[in-house]
Amino acid sequence: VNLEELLVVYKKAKSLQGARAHNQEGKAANISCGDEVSVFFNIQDGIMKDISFEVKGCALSTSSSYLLADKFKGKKISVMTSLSDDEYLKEIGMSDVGLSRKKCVLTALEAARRHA
Amino acid sequence: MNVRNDFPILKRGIYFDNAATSQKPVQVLEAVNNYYLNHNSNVHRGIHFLSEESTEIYEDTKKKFASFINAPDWEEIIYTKNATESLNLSCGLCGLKKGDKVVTTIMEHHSNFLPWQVLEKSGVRFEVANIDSEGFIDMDDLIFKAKGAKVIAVTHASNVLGTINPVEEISKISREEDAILVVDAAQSAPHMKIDISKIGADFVAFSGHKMLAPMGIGMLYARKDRVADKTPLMPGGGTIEDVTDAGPVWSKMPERFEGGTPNVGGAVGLRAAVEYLEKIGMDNVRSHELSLLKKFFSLSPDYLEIYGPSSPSDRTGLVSFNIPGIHSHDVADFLNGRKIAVRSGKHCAHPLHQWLGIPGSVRASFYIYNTEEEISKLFEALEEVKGVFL
Repeated sequence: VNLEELLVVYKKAKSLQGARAHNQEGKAANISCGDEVSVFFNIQDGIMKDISFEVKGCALSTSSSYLLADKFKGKKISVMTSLSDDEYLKEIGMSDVGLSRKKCVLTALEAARRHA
Repeated sequence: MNVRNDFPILKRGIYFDNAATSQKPVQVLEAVNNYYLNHNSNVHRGIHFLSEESTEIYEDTKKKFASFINAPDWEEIIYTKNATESLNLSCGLCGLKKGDKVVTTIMEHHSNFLPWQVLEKSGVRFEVANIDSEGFIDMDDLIFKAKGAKVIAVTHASNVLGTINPVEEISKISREEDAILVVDAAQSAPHMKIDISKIGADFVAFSGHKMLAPMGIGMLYARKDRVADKTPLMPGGGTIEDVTDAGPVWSKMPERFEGGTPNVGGAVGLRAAVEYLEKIGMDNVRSHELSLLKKFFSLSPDYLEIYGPSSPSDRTGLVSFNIPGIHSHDVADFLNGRKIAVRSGKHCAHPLHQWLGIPGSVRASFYIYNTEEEISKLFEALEEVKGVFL
């Protein structure tokens, strides 16, 4: 993941984070580093009309939460939750993330998979 | 300290993750190589020349290590695979039962916390002594909690705070309570002179790979009169003199507690590591690290949140810190991009990080081959981190 590009996304993600109107939400935590991600969905007729998020965590978990919201807004939730980890990483353009930080990037997806 | 040529790996970048594992000098690697090329055989088994040679080498490595830590008897040195196994073995040999009390501290590495904490399920009373705001053990709390304890388990030096604990004083407390004292020396032995006879502990756990030896060799000093008659926790090859229908006749120490083929190559590497450190002199190792610590503190900007004692003389050569507002993993990741290897996260000390109220920290840990110039480069990179993330 290119640092300059990541930082642009990170700063944008930090400024945009916060829950908006929603009817479903999911939470996940990366216990080993204390990161917590919440993803909020406004779902109408099976379509994710809006996705917002709140992150207490590192640049990667924050940026990937923004990318999740950006890439999957307007789609069926099953389109996102049925993806494998690797397919998801490819979709958000982070498939080259190192092994030690993969978990940071996947926390938002984990939260989304737990939506209810 | 003119040792860098002995560590070719240092050409790859700045290595500040020595509290996790140290690098290995060529002398250690050559010693291991030479053992396998010219002396390899199983120990305590055959009567052929190679087995005798191997056994002799193996026992000599223990004599060397015993002398390095000033242990009264080399037979009190038990080899394990790492300090975690040494501490778990100590725990098993303490034989705690329902109603017994064990006291440890909030600054422990998980390996000196979990083996005791899990005994709560068996009815063992588990107490944790507090620390103060500077990162020192609250001795009043320890003394209070140690009343009636059967075991006191404490680290000699914290792997996060760097605090060097007063183990000799704690040893006195353990004697007053007639408690067994278990000391985790994984973070102290690589960095300062250890004197087992002075400490007066019953068990002291060591890690080989943090003090220049290969991974896979750990050491446990176990006082003979505490454990000589205990049943082995890992019975098998090497732990018996004889086995009959009536049962086993256990070996004497230390074989009694070293079930199976030991890591002879690792032990040979450890001996070479000890010889290497002795050649430098542990006092010189300590003074070198103190210089590095002083350099670190002299360059440290106000925005850096540093954990542990404010005086370098109270620390081993490591510093854990945060730049408020920036996640420790982000700092470590950025430094990695500048070829500076530090650790981030909770360093296998979750209870301590909960106590500190932080999700993680960045840890820079130094050793004999690190330089003041490298510390300057670390701070140049930290300035960049601040500029980029905040």
